Amino acid sequence: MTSNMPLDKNRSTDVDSLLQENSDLKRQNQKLAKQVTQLIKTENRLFQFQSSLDRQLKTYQKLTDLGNALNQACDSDTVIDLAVEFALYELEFERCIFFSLNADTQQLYVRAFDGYYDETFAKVIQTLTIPWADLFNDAHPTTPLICSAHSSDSHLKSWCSALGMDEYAAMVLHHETQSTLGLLVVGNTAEMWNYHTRVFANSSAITGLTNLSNQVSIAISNIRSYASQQKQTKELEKIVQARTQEIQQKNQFLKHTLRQLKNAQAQLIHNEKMLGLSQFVAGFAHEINNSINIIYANIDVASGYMYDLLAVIMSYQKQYPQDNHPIQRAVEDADLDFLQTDLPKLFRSTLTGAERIQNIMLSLKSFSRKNEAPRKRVNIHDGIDSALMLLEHRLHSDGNYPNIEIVKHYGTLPAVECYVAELNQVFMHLLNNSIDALQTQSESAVIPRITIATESQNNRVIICITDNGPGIPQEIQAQIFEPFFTTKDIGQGPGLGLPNSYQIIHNQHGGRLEFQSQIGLGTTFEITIPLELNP
Amino acid sequence: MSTQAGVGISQHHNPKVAGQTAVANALEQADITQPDFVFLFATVGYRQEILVKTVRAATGNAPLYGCSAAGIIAQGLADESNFAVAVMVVRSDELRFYHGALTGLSQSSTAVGQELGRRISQANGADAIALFLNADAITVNFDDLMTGLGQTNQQPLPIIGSLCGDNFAYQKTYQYHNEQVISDGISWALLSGNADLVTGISHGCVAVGQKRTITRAKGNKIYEIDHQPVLDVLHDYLEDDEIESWDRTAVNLGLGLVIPGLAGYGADYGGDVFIRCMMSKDEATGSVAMATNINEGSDFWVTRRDTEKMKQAAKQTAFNVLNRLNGKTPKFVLHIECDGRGKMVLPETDKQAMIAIMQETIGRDIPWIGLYAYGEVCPIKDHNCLHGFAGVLSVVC
Repeated sequence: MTSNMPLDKNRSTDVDSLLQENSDLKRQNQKLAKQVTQLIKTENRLFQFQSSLDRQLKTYQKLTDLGNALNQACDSDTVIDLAVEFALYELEFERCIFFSLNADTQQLYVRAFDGYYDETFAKVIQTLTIPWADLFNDAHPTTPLICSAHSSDSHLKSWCSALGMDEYAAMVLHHETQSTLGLLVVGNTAEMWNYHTRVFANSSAITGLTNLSNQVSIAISNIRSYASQQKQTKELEKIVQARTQEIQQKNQFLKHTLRQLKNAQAQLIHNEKMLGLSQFVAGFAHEINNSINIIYANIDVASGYMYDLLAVIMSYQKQYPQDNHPIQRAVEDADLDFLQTDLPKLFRSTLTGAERIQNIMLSLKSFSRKNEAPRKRVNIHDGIDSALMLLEHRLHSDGNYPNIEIVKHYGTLPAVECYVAELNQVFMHLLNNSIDALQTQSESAVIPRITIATESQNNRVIICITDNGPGIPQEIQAQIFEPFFTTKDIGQGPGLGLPNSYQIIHNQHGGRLEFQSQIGLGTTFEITIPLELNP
Repeated sequence: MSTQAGVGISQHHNPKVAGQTAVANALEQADITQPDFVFLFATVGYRQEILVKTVRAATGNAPLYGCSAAGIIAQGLADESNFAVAVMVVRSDELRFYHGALTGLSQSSTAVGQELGRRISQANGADAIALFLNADAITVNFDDLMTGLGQTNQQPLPIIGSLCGDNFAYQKTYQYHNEQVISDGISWALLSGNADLVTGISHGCVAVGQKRTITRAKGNKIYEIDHQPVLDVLHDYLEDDEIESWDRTAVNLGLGLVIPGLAGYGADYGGDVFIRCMMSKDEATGSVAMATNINEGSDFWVTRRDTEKMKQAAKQTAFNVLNRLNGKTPKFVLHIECDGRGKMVLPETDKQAMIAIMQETIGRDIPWIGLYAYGEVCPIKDHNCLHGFAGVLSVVC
């Protein structure tokens, strides 16, 4: 027994030691287990804080995105749609209604709404109106209306049914001038509020909603300011436009007056010139006619004298047939046989020349018509032919220019009442211009030709004068009726022919003078005048 | 022989718009106008009846199977908001779906399981591939459900399923069958035909603290742990407000239970313990309810998620599934994630990345529909088990 004592004692010591060690380990284990549970709690809190921070960060990011979107919005409707969408999809309320205020009736009416409503209720919401005074005592409330599920405010509760929400928050949107921009209402139904952001006063959701309302207020205010500026700008633009139009009209009037002045001046110059020319032509024609009449009369007498003298010479010749007789020698020297045949020819030729001069004078008289009434019913073709007669010398080749062919397609025209002298001047101008144009292409292979066509249509006559000259360049076509515009060399014409012709046809005759021209093909001037002049 | 499938989603808050949009997108992806069968998963912000009716109408009243979820998953998307809907349309001349719905879980999960067994026995032939199953997470006793099923269905089937969610409200979940929206029930679809099923499962939990023992329990309710009232024990790990709201309790704290006979499954699952979450608490009786029966004397560890382990395991699971496909092309993927592996524990980018790596591994162009659930059902060693904090990939190929 004794010998076993130390061993037992040792064993007992070892067991005690192990038990102590075990007990220490258990205590440590329990301590560690407690630490672990504490760590788990701490970790849970950490998750919650992290989750909360993540949500806040997401909300701020979304608000920033919304701010950017609102800044880019151009109209209030877009802003309101963005606000409603944000309230539903980011703030996660079930339903959202945006009211606008009718300033005249002081009624809130639904501008936009979203969230799920059945079709029947959606129609009701669409037409919902709320008198401002039924919701607010103040014209400019500064605090939102919060109707939580547990609210005991019967006034706020009374609107739940109309809004289709069992809890709601209503934020008034103000302009900086304190005018009301709208009312943003968000909320939930009891059926679905577990899955949406709940409405509680002083909650982070209301803070988010306040941020949203502020951003939307600013955006709508900016849009209104911009719209107001745009309106002012448009009004200013209208004033400027009106002034510009006024100035343009005055400018047009001045241009017209200037053109009239130029025309009057040109007309005056032309009239003076034509008056002088007519007087000159009339006097000239009178004098020439007198002279021609003398020549006519004298030639007739001289012709008789000539035959008498020739008969006398013949008698002398018969009486003195001797070759050496002085009479016979004088007959031979004078080549009496030739004289006998040539002298009548000479007289006939002189008579023809006189007749031609007489015709020219008649044409000149016809052209000037100084001695006739200004308005007369005439055959238009006579006037055209007179002008052609006067221009005959220009139609024939002079070595530099080839002959110009005249082609007439005269229709059957009734007598036309017109200012004859003036109308003849027009024919003269137009034909002269055609000849001028044709003579600028002397080396052309084309036979120069002027075609004159007339016809009668619906109490009007149309006279077309067409040349196959080089045509009028496009860039000067708009100017050819302007007074003093000319393409001719100095001294070749003052540029009054066409303007005066235009005046004569348009103003005096109530007609039209128009032209068509193609480069390389020629030009047609078309005169249209009525058969009867206006009284 | 071919199968055309397409998945469409929508996050619109209006259930009609959301339903129509999701269906339109799904039909477009499948390149069909009329499906033979429709999968529908949606979060609970929607008025469920309106959403389901809309989807039914938009799919030409095609047979529909689905449930409410804590979130939805599709290619490139994992959305745990209150407003997200995913629709998968299937048209096939090689696959058949026989589907239905039953209620009465709270009364007797066993009876529901028995009736389910009777129903599927009619169609559970030689070419049966899998049973898809959604059950109300609040009222189901999964063990009883399986027991009942086993009593009336003699032909074992792999079950891929979920306990339906309601976005952490733990109030009411919904099961969809055609235009019906029910609670306290199950919706199911028996898949048969010419195809294979490849599954993979993983969790990412680690045990913390000492081993503990359930000292008083009845059915699926735990009353005492280590001879202490269970609610008192929870106070060691959670603050009062967390226990009060319960939503965080359910996702933050799991129980790692040792299941005899299933040890050594391997790295694919992550160990020999089954993770279960506590679905609800009852202050009056001082108990917490699990989705499965709990035996007195069971040992367990309190478990916490390890996010790194979770991500690694998810990636590995996807690779394992890919290998098991043996080159076969997936016709579609049904992906079930625990809500405790989503936004409650992972930052949004990490969560999306974890889903993305699985999708990139299996195939970005595969029709892929999934949901965040309160519990995940997937077979382990031919034994259909309920899991917590797990991710389940099931590929029909």
